[in-house]
Amino acid sequence: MKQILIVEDEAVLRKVYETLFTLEKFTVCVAENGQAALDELKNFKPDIIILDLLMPIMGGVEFLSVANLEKTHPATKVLVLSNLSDAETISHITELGATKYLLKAGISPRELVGTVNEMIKKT
Amino acid sequence: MAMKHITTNRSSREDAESEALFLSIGEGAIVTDQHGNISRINGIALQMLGLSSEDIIGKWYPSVIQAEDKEGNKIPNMERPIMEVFLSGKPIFRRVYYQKSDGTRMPVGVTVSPVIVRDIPIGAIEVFRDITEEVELENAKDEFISIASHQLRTPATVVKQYLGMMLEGYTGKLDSQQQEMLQTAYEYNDNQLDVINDLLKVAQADANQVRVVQKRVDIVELVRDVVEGQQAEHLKGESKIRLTPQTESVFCKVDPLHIRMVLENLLDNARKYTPGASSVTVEIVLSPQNVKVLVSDKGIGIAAEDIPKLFQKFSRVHGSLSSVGGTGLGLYWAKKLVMLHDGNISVTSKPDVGSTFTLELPRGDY
Repeated sequence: MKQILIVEDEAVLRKVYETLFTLEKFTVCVAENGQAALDELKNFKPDIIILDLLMPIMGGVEFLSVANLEKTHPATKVLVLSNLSDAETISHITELGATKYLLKAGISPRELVGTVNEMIKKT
Repeated sequence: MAMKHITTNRSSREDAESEALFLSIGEGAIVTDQHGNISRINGIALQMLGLSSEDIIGKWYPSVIQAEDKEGNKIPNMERPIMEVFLSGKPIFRRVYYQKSDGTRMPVGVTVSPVIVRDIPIGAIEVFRDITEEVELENAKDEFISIASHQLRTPATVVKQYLGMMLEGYTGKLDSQQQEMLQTAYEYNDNQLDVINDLLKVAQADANQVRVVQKRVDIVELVRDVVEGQQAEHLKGESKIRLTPQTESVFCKVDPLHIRMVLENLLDNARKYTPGASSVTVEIVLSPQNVKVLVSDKGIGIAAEDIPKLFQKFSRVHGSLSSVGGTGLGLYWAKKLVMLHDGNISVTSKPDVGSTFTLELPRGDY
């Protein structure tokens, strides 16, 4: 079974993605910020992480800098799903190991699932 | 002797006049000699900084008035506007924070100009004003951008995702009426998201919050990539994008993300304003200084009197154009982005014949 970690501070959006990926038969784990995601990752090896950028306590960029995913979760892909269209942040997160970046408001559920499946398949 | 007497009189009158002029400046004013020692300061400056003239006359300017940047870091003496004017000999405008005598900070807009007598610099004059209210207004605008982003975009995104899931069959089969109603709701929600996103992008651009990260970018490759990405959307409406063959690489120093968004905007417009099965042509033209990307359509065209309005904010021109969905912000924003790259967007058009939008970027030495 495919496994996904959803890191998103807005509870309602967390619920949206959780519902979608549960319907798509993923094992879903959710976290409300980067710190909570770090805790989840101690016992969870997801195929992919969907990561928001602007979150309280620990945002997506900080999460990527401290998580050291290359070592701890080398097989895990990261899809940044945010509203930030800030070019500097985008180039920064790519350097930090995010595999792909998508605008939250610009993607339909089916497209999101398609992107996620494609990213996992490439492993 | 009589001559000398008259000259002296005139000189002292001029002195008195210039002193009166100086004192009547409605903003803080400080004059220094060529070493940066303060020779004059007006009452408004003293009042704003909470100082008395005995405190500072004759003293080295950077040592008595502390300047900080927005984050509260002390600006090194040699980087103070007044020192930069001594080095460059040219007037300078900067925004800094002055430390008042009571320890509080005050944002100021500072203009420093060299004082030059018979081609010799003899000092500098600085005029500064308290811009606390402007800064507060800007902060309020920033806050609005952030609130709008969370309070408007998140709910609209949730609606989009749930409607999308129902439309895409995640919750079971829909009958035709349900399908139609949800489809309409989905499309209107999408338009709403477009408006929210455009408003935020424009607000950011207007607040000078657009960060430009320039890289060496092959424009030919970027154009090809954008055309490929947009082709599917064009084919849905039976139109097609034709890219004039161009094999040579052309490098510019640009933010690829910004230029990509501008090209997407131009191609999207070409598609929207070209009814039926027709093709949009994309051509790359080089000159020694510039690279031009021409996006031409055989669409409804734009009347001559409407062309100047195109790049203005909320510019929906009258007639058939206004029946096509749009916010009237796309071209305004695109032009702003391109101008950040020292480039330009221009247009030539004939009603019922078509339009050509030209994106022009400087080539640089690559």
